[in-house]
Amino acid sequence: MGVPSQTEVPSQTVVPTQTEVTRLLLAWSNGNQAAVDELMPLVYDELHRLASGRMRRERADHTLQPTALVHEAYVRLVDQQRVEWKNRAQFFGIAAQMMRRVLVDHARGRRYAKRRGSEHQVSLDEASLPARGRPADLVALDDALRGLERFDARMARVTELRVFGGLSIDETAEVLGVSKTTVVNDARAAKAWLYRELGPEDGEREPA
Amino acid sequence: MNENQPEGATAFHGMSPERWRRLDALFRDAVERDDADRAALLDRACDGDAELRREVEELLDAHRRAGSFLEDAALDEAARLAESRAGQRIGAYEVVEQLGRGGMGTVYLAVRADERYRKQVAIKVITRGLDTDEVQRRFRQERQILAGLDHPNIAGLLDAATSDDGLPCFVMEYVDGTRIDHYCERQRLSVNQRLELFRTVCSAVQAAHRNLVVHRDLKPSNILVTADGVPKLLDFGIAKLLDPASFDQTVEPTARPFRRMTPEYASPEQVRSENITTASDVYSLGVLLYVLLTGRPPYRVDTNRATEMERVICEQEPERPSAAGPERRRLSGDLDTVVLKALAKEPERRYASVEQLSGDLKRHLVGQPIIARPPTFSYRAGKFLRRHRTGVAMAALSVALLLAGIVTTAWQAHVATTARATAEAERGRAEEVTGFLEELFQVADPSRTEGETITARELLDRGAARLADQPWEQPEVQARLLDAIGWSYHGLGYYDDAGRYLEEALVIRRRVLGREHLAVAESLDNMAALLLARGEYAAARTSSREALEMRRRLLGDEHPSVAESLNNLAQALQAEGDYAAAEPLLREALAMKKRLLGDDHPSVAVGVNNLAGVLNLLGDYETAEPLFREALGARRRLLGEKHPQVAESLNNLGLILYRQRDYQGAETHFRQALDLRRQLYGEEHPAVARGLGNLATVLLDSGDYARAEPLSREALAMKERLLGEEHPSLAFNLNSLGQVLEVRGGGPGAEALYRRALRLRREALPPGHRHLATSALALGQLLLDRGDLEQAEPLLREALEIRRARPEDAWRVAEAESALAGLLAALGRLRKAETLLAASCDVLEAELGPEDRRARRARERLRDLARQSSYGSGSAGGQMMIEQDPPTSAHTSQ
Repeated sequence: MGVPSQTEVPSQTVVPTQTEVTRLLLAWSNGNQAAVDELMPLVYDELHRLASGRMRRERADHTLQPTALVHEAYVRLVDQQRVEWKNRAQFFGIAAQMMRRVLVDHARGRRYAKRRGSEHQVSLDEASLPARGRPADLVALDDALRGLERFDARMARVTELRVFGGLSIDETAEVLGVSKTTVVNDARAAKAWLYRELGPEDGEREPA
Repeated sequence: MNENQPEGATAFHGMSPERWRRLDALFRDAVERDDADRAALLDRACDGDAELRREVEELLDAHRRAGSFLEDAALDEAARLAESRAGQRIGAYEVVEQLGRGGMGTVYLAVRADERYRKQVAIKVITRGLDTDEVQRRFRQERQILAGLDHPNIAGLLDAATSDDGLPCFVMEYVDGTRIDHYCERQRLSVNQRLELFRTVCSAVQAAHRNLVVHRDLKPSNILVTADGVPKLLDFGIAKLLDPASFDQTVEPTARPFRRMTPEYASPEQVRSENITTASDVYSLGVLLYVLLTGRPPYRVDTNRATEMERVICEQEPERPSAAGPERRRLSGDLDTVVLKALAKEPERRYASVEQLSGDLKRHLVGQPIIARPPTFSYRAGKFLRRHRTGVAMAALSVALLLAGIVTTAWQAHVATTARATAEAERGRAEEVTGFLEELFQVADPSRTEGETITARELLDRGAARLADQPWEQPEVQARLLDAIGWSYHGLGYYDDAGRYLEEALVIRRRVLGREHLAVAESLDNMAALLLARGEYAAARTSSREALEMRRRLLGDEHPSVAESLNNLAQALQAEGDYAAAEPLLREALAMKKRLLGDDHPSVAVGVNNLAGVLNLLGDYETAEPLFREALGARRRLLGEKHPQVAESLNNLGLILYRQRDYQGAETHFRQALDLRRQLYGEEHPAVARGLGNLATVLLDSGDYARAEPLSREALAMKERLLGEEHPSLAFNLNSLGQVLEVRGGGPGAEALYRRALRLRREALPPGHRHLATSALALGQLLLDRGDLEQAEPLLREALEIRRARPEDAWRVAEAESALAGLLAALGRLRKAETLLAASCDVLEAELGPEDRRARRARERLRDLARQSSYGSGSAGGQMMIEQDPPTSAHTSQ
């Protein structure tokens, strides 16, 4: 599947029109699979634009929630008069995937920059990032999700929709065509698997 | 990103799908149940599969702990992305990515969007509440001047702009490089290379000064070095644009708001908000040079209180670079002088210009006399050293440096003291020392001694003689010099003289300063190190414990001197054989040093080495070996190739290879250590004798008896000359020489050697020490072979008992058992002897190989037993004749 990476995205993106996205979404639900390939870069660009456009001073953390961004993209990109519940679910399915891609690309870019070892011109004060708690590295998370996908594609997909798309249990069940119980169980198991893979080292674990 | 790339392949440790499914199903089942129910389920489902049980428990545990970690990870990255401004426009530029963030703002990589070549720039967005319009206005005012700063080592300031969200931004030339201090470390630049790089920085600052631009904020993070090795100075002119005081000249200096700066690099006049001139940049360059040469800033300003910060920067004298950094010898003299002159508190006492500073460095590099003048006595000392660089042994150099160091310290104390009365007293002290040293160096001046080279020993003897017969007005100064001279004798291996002076220093200090004083603790610590070297282990323990407790009372639990005392106490315990007690002390000392001094410090390398030493004695070779290697690497890096501690590390590596029976590797390292020691100390020194002895023992165990014998004799003779005939470390050489004689059929000599070794050890070591086992076993076996069962029996039983206390050393136990079995056989208790022998023979052959002399001896005994005839013959054994270097003792002069 041709998922666009950041380098393929033209740097001067034209904000896609609502009409275009809505048209593609409808074409897709009418069975036109090629529409998906056209849709994805548009969603990717919009999510990237939305995410990176948030400025420090106006930022309150909730506006940064990737899930909020996905919903905002939906409002901006899709003409809600013309689409059905099913189209909405399809959009979120794609958007979750693209959101994951946007964030992982960014994390990978940072990693690359770090590997280059340059320090660049940070001054005026010693560079000091405020100490955050250390959340899981998104590149590692992406890697682990791919690993999980090899065992159980549905579990990986549930995680993607819930974490990156912000879909509710109902919505996730709808997108995947499974029961709500399945979503709950899958999400729970996937999280445990991923935590075991990515969480703190053995030393910090309580003895079993 | 290519989806086909098997990136996920690394996840889940290659678990099979079947295994995964089973585990997943079990987890889903178990997670729904309550505790009792779950335990029952797991017992049932994992019956006999402990691995499955462990894995499912891990999953359940992960489930309990996971919280919102997935959402947090996504949110965290989204926040970073939001800050990245990627794709945003600032003025005519488009942001590509965030480069970094500092306290004042964030720096972005951007490209000029409307240009064909997409020129890269760096944009600094100032997020700290500053008036954008005011900054813009100032920039327009300064623009002409800044545009004139066209220099290959200055990153040009191109533009000022305003971000979409209304923040002031500076657009400047983009530099892809590494902070200058990190660059120097990563490239492992030599001192000379660092000086050259620093001089290039100076040339840029000079150019700016010619344009009347003062940088005001020079520091490593403002100087990047490109991949081509070109340094580039950033932010020229920005500090002034951002300085609230710099434009409004009507404001009284005292009323000016506190300037924003990096305290470690700020000059006294900057801290006091006084006029800032080119001299302020000279000062900051001095700090930079200090950092590049020593790896740390001249003082630590770890306070946020403005008054305290001001006090430290304006009053505290920095330590000489040579005392602060690893390259002690290289830095002392010219470089100390240059750096301290640049760092003078009063601007008028600094170099008058950056050219002058740079010029002195150039003169130093080409070997011309520098212009800056230190006080004459230090200078004289330095001249003396330079003249003798080739003629005098390294040891002499360090002795003289040590003495010069005392003078400089006294001088600095004099400068630093502000209270007049104290200053007077300090001056008196300094002058007294000065007089002493001036005369000392006069007698050492070859022009007065008709060109004959003075040895370190002679220098010390003269100094000591003068110290003794000169009346001293300041007894504590006399004590300090006595202590230094005593320690120098110790370093040269003259332990008797060392003891005399160290003890005299202690007595004086106690009398003048009282029983409880840091200088007294220092004396006690130095005494302890000496007692250790002399083999008086119990006295060393008492003395170092007293020093430790005193330092703790006076300095608290966390202090470099406390760490040193911990180390020294551990050495004494280790020498007495109490490894279990020594280990935690060494670990504590090492952790404390790392906390206080950072990872990259010679004292930390000492800590690593000594910890490895005790682990080696405890038999944990797997842990010890990499630590020895780490210490060796660090010492080579921090101290240079030719250093006594490098030799020590080489010896210790040889030792651990020997313990693991890599005799070839051991021999190589022992030889390197020995060669280095001969270069450093000359032919005659306790450390050289230790090196010879170790080489002899490894040759003995390799079966090269012919080469082992002369080395063994030489080592023994040298130790007898240097340490006297009663030193317990002689036992190592007595034992190995005895073995050589036994193997080579040297007749009755071995018995006398073994007896003497055992006696020395009994006098020095507590009962149960494992070295006693070695000596007892050697003598016992010899007596057994000779048929003297009565004398042999208690010795062999003692050896076995000691060795059985450490069952992890299986072959050593087996060696003692095989000897005892020989005895039992001789006593006619054949069944018991046979059982014991058969078992120990197997262990020896398995552990040492069937060709080893100890294994062969056991096998012979077994055969003899089978024939029920004699009791075997061969060599005595015990792989205990390698002498581990005593751990490095710490010495601090106050």
